[in-house]
Amino acid sequence: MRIAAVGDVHLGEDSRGLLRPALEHLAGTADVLLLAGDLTRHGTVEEARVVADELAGLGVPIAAVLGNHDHHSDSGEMISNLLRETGVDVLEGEAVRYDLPDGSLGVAGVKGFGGGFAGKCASRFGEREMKDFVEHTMASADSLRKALQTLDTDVVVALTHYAPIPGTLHGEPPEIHPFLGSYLLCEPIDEVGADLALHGHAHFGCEQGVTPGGVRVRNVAQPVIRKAYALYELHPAELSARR
Amino acid sequence: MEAEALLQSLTRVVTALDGTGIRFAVAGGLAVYARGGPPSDHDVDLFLKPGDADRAAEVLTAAGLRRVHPPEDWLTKVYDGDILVDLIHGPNHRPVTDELLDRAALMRIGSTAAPVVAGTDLLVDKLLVLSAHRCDFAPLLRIARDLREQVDWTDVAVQVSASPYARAFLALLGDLAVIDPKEALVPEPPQYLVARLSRALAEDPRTAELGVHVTVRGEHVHLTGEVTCPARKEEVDAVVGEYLTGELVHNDVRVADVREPASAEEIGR
Repeated sequence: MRIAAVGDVHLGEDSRGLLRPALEHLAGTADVLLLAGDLTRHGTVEEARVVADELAGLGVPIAAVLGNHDHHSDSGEMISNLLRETGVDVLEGEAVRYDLPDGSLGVAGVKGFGGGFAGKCASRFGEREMKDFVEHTMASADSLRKALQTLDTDVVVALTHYAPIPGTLHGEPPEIHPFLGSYLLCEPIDEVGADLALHGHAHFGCEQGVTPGGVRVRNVAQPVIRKAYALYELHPAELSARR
Repeated sequence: MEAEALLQSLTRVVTALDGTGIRFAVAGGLAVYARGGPPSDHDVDLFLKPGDADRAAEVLTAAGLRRVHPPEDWLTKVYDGDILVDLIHGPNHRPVTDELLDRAALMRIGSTAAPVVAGTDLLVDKLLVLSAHRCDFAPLLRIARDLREQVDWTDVAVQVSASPYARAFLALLGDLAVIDPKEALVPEPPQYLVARLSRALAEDPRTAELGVHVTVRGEHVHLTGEVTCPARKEEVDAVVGEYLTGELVHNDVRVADVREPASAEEIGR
C-alpha cells in the first residue's frame, strides 16, 4: 500500500498548474493522497478553487485536513465544502475508510493546534485567552481520539497539520515549539496504536520522528520533504498482524 | 567682535596650555571654522576634562588672563581683554572624556595649531544646544553643509535621538538632500528588526509567509526558508525592503522543488 503525502503547498491564485505536472501520474505511483493542511496561502475561497483544480480527477482517493493558513480568511467551512465537491475527504474530527487493493486504510484527521510538548507546554490556567488557546487543542485532540476509535482497518493513519511530537521539529527554534504542535495530539495516536502519523506546519523541521509509544511520525511539509509529495509504502498484512 | 581678535586670543590660550599636560580640544565656532565652516566671531570654547578645568584657569590667569566665576557648574570662564574664553567640562550635561579628546585632531587654526573636536562630536554638541528658546536652524544649516563629509550622521542621530529639535533638524537635512535621509535614521536594535521583519512577512498579504527566517548580523539581513515559486521570493524582497534603512539583504530563500519523488520509504513493522 503506497501513501503519497504532502502538506504546506500554500497555493495562491498565481499557483495554478504548479503542482499538477507532478500529480498527473499519481494513480500509477500511489494508492491514496493525504494532504496535511496549509493548502492555500491566505485561506480564500479563490485559492481553494486553485487547489481543487490541481487535485481534480487524479484517479486516487484524497483525504485532507486544513491548516492555519486555510483559516486566515475565516472561510474554513467554505474551503472544506469546495474541496469536498471535488471529491476530497476533508477531515476535521472525522475518519474515512479506503478499501485499497492491498487492504483497508483508515485515516483520521484534525487540524490540531499548538500548546507545546510535555513539560514545556501551556496549561489551561489564567486568562480566558490562555484557556481558550489550550481548550482549542484539547478539543482537537479529543475529536482526533474519537475519529481514530471508529477505525477498524488494516492500516490506521493519523493526519494533522500541527505536530504531535517535538521530534519532527528539529531545525525549528525551540522557543516556537508551543506554536507548532502539542503532545495532546500524540496521546490518542499512541492510545490506538496508529501505524503512521502525518503532519505539516513545521517548515524548518525534519521528516522523521517517533511517538513515545513507537508510532512513526512524518513531517510532510513541502519545504521539509523537498518534492511534490513523499511516498510511504506500508504492508497491511504485517501491520494488522501486530495489532 | 572681530574674527582676527578671536584667533589671537586662541593662540595665547593654546600657547599657555602647551606643555602643562592639560588635555583640551577646541570646540564651538572656532572648531567649525577650523574644519572649513564659517568664521566665528563669538568666543573661544575649549573642552577639557572636569578635573582639569580649575588648573587650566590658573594657568591662564598666570598668563595674564582674567578669571571670572560664573554660576554655571559646567564651565569656567576667563577673559583675554574683551574676548571670552569658555573652559567647558560638561557640555549639555555630558562630561568631557578622554575618548572625546582622543577623537580630536590636531589642526591649524589661524596662526596656531591645536586639537579640534571631531566633526561628529561637534555636530552633536551643536544640535543638543537646540531648545524651545534656541531653535535657529539657519547657522546650523551652513555648518552642516560645510562639514557634512566629516560627520558620521548615523552616530549623530543616535546621540541626539532624545531631542525633538535635533531630530527635526536632521529630518530637514535629509529633505534638503544635505545628507542621505537614511544616514540620519537611528538604527533599530537587531532583535526589534528581526521581530518587525518576521511579523511583516507573516502579516503582509503579499507574502503571508511564516516559513521565512530572518537573521540580522550587523548591516546584513539574511533570509532563509522556502517559498512556493520564484515570484514569492521576489515578494519577500519587496516587503523586507520597506522596513530597511540601508542594510544589505541576502535572500537565500529556496523555491520549492515540486518534482515527483524518486523513491518510497518503506514503513515496516
